[in-house]
Amino acid sequence: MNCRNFETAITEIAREQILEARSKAAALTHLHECRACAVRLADERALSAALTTVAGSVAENVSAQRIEGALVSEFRRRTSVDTIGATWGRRTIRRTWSPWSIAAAATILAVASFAVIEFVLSGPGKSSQQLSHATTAVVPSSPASQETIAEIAGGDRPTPFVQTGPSGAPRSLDRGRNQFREAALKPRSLPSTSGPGPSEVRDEIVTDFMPLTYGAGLSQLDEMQLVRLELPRSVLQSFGLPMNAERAGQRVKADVLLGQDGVARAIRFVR
Amino acid sequence: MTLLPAFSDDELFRLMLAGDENAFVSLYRRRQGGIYRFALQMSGSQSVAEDVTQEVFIVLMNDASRYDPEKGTLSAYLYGIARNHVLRSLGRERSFVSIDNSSEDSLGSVAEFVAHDDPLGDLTRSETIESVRQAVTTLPPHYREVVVLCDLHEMSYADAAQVLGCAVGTVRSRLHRARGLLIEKLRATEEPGAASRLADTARCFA
Repeated sequence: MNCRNFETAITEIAREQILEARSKAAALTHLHECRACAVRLADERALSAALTTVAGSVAENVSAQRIEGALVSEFRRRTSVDTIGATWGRRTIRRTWSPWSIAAAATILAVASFAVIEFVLSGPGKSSQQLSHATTAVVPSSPASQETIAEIAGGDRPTPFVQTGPSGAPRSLDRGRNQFREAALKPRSLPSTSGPGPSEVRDEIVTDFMPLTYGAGLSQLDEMQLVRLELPRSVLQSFGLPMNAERAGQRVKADVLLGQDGVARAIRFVR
Repeated sequence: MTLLPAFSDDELFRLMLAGDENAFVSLYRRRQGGIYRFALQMSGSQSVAEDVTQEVFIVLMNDASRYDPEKGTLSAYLYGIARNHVLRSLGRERSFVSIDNSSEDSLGSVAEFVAHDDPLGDLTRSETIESVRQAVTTLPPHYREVVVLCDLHEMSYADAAQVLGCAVGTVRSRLHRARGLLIEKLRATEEPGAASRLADTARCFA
């Protein structure tokens, strides 16, 4: 072996890579004959040792915890979106309010409004909790719902809204505002869920209330109403709460706080 | 959070695609350290390394279908993504120092590798770490990446070739050249003027 041949193998020798036995023996023989190559190999070995030291010095370096948090949030958001039938799209984590988050919030608001209508139409029940003594009717946010409530509350419309009850007999909902208020103060059953009994209430675990609207602090609301709903479990992820993907198709109970204007202001989840 | 240490990368990846958050977190925790250190050693910047680490896993979420287990390991795929992002970042920031050498084909005269007595022996440990780190950071990117992958991350030539998208022979020759450059740089750091003497030193080719 001459110096040129030795040079082609020196990196592998210095890095202690597997080398053919005959080549290795020839290289060792050459080292005894050529001091320059011996020094060259010493350099290479010193470099390998230095690089090993450098590698060891950063072995514990890992990315910041906040990156994992951001990625997990992004994963949850995408999983949530995927659950409701959309495909994963290219987005950056830094976008705080994505269109899908807004859509999820809008869905919650729509479901809450729908539940309020059902709540009003359903008659006396057992699960609603009145947080304060409301002095005005609950008015959902959408124009159509407002119209319906106006009819129920005895608004200016000349023709009363009539609904057919379970018995088949028409049930007039042309009640006055006072009638509605009185009815609203009574316990009612929600069509979408059965209300918790006393023992169930004791066993319930709830999250904190999370605001659904900007700028409207809960403390500013004198009168609020709490409505129990069932929502798609994927909604949990919209609020950064963990969700078991296997149960994504199931529903989760939630309490929605409604303001005087019927707009959902805050939500908490119940288990 | 239940981590899944017993699962392979590919199994975790499949679970992740099915929406399993535990699988995603397990995969992230298993691979983020290497990706982060690779980006850190390539760029010399913690912020770049963090951005790259984040981008790698975002890409994994976005373009999951681009990973083909037939073509290589998931780890190599992730390193490949990291490498692309690092190079893009380096291109943007021009944070590396160019040196006059470049062509890997000009493996050149072995005479320039000739050493004198104890070139690296006098460096203390901390000096060694800092000097070597500096020297690696100032290598041209295509040499730097092979040193980082093969020497600092102890990756095989085959895996490194997969990450870099080149032949094994190319990795080998680049590493050989890169290590030669590192020795030169370290010698010059330790003893200014030493590098210029190298060219005058004779070498036997017996």
